[in-house]
Amino acid sequence: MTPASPRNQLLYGTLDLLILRTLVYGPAHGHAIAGHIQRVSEDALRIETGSLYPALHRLEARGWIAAEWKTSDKGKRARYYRLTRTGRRQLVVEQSRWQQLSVAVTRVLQPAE
Amino acid sequence: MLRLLYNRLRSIWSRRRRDAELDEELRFHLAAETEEGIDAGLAPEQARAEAQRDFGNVLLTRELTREAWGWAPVERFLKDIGSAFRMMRRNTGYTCAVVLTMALGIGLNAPMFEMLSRLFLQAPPRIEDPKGVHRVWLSERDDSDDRGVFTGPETAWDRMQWPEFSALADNNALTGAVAGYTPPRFMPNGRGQNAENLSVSWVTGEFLDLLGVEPTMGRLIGPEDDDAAAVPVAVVSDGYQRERFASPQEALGATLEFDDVTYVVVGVLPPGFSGPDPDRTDVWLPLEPAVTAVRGDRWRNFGSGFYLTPLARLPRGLTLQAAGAAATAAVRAARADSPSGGSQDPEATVVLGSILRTRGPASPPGEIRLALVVGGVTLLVLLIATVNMSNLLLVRVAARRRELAVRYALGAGRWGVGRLLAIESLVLAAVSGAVALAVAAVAGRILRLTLLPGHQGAVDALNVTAVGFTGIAVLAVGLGATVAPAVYAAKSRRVERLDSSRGARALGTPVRTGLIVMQAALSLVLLSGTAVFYRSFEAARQVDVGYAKENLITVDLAGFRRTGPLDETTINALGARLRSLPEVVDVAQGTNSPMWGQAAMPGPRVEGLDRLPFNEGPYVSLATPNFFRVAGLAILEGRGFSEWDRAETQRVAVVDTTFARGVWPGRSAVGRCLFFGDASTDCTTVVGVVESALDRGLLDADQAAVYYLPIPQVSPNTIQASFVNNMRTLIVRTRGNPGRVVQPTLLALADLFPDLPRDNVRSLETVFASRIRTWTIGTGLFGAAALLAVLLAAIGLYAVIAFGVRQRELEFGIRRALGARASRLLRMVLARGFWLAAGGVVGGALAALWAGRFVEPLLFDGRTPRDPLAFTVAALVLLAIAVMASYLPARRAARADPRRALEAE
Repeated sequence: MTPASPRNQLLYGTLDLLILRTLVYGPAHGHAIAGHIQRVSEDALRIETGSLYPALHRLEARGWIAAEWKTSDKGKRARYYRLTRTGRRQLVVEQSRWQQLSVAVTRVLQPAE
Repeated sequence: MLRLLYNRLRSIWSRRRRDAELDEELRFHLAAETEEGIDAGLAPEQARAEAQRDFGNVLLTRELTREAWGWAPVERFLKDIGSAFRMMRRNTGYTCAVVLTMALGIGLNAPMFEMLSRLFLQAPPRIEDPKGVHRVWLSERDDSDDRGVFTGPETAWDRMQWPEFSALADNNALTGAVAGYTPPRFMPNGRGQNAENLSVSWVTGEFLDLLGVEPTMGRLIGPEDDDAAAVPVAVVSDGYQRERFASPQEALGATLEFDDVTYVVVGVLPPGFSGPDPDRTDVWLPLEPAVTAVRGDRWRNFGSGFYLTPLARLPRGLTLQAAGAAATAAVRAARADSPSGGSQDPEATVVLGSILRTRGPASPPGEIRLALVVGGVTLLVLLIATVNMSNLLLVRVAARRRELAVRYALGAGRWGVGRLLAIESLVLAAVSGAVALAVAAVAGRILRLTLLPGHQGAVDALNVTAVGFTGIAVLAVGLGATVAPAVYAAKSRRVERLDSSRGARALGTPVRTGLIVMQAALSLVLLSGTAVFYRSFEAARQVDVGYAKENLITVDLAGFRRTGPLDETTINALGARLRSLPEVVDVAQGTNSPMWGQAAMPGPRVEGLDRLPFNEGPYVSLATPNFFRVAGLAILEGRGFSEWDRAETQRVAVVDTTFARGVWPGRSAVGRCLFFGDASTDCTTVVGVVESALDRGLLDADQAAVYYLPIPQVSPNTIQASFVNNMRTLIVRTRGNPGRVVQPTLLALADLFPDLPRDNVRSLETVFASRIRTWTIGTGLFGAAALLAVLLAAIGLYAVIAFGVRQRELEFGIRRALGARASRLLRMVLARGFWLAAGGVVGGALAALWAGRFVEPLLFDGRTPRDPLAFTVAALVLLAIAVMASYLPARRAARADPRRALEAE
């Protein structure tokens, strides 16, 4: 269902994983999530808003994250997302899927002698 | 999963709020980004610009996010429907044209389809496992030359005589598998003019059980009721019970009286059940008491004239072939065993067919063939309606090229536009469908009452089949009509440029032209059909039946039961009373009800002939002296009867021309002798020859030989005397409208013959009208369909030509500017309409030549459907209408103003 956007340089499904992982540290708004991912990946991953917000709303529609309006530290109303119980479970699933994939990719790139 | 659904639903409901929230969320992101930039030391404007750049397309992000909510398709759909309705409101004329077209097309077809499906496809209702019930047909050859050699054409009948039926029922292989009934016919319940006429079927004791019908109240007729000694019982239909009794309980125990036998109602059958035939049936009676009451005991013999229709439900393990073979053997044995059975084909075979009579083996009767042809006609109308709608849509699409081009430019896909068109035509179709249901309800009633008035449900409202048909037809037509426009729209995407709206003018024109030609062709088929039927109608209407049928009423004293002889004093009193009416010219008496009933008896002998050279007849008609004058039969030779032909004078007879020509070809009949009785040598002298009358058919070949004898000369205790007693008819010649005499006649009858049922007073014109009914109905229905078709074709043609003219307005303007005369432009456009219709004429003529075979058996006196005159008239009408439809656009072309056209560019 993900609209194939040319802006989305990330591997399909990865953005979802990154968002879920980020929210483990606590509720955050969209801008903060994007900033976090960019910071932690040391600017390697820049999340386009055209991908971020559809992804957030999609995850919310699936019930993996929930949203509520709160006042940000700068005193403005912002939409904060937090992990739900199913989201937490989904994170485990996604994480292990990613690890399997990355192991597999590594094997292909560095075949055992 | 549920949560997902809930979220989606909630998001649809709270759409506005969510939109506002999304905007706020995105604004917050932008603000946060800008602040970050400012924190990093950028100037506020620069920071905002940077943030905007990073953010990218806000609108797109919003759209993509909204898609993630999951209700985009629903929203699109609602939007398309809204746009379809807006389109309909904006184009009222176009919408009305399409809706009317479709509503008529579908509304006429729904009841026709329902009617034909009931005749040919659906098993009669309320019968258990109807596929297992078989109609038993007897296929036999005719003894064409009466010499005991059966070489005539083979005909199948779904009826047999009692000895044959009982041989079937007694056959070991078929034990318990056979039952019989008589198809329903109208009989008066009780006596007199207030007796209600009920549709009655006589059934054997096994019949209702064999069909597996369950009574809603009481019980069925069983084998114990089908016995002369049993108390006569009856079961009634649900419809009759509702009409006549307050509750089913009240029906039980009520009594009915047919032919002086009183029947006690013991059961009520379920709604819809009408036995194995589509004809409405009110009452079922056990065969034995019912037949005996009418025919005495003779009905069990061959040649009694009593027939019943057998049905069979085969026991497990018996194949159709084996059952047919057993039945054939049983019938042949019954015929061989009986001396009088020998006058029938000994090689007759029994065939087990479907329970639906129309499935054969015998071809369906004329009225059902007519219904089939009418079904074909309404289907043509639907086809024309679809083509018309397609064409109108196409013109609309062509006119909307700019709009569609804008939609494409804004990113609508080919599917998007196709979907929009499909939804537009589906919405149109749905609105039409609603109107169609109303049309179907009204037209259905009219069609059913016209074509098959006696059938079960002829007056019912719409039923499931008709509504279902409407639904499916709406979908099919709605989508079917979209194909051409959608293809065209898709094409225009490739070719169309916003800036050159004229470049692709030719696109779609061949399709539009083709559709118009097709419509014209279908219209021609209907027009020529109308003409062909009208020719039959006129020919039949002008048939000379011999009788002067205008202003003639017959009062039939034959059709009711009497004990004892007819009272001559009462008859004379009736005659005198009728004669005293101011509208009545004269009253005569006879034994033949003109154009209704005839009596035959062993014919007279004539000198020099072993037997009379007639296949049937001669019929005898006993008459008073004024009979010929009142009936309007001309005496061609000699004289008629006179007051002086009495019992004691010379016996006289009058013969008709058919009789005279057959017996004394080329010689005069007057003065010859007829001899009655085996050894009698008393000469009955032929004193006159009267013109032949058509008592049955309408063709010359239907003229049967008749001889007339004066009533005063009939000797007591002869067959003639019994005819005079049992078959007496009064014929009444009136001045002006005979309808005015009917009511006083009925009043007189109520006084003098209180037991006589009321339908025995008939005007001869009514009888004649029922005889030419096929052609009256055929002409009427074909005519109505053709009118509709031509109207649709005219609308379609007008739309296409007008569109073409609008497209070429500039060209016409330039032509005008360059000196072309208005009349020349007018002719140019008219010619286009004319040639389109001419193409239709050619195609339609070919189609009509082919379709003629379906109509041929329905035409009068072997008239051909390939009638050059009919085709010519149809073609002229179509061409004239085409030119008329093109006239308005043509005038517009002729008045084209180059300046205005240029300004419009």
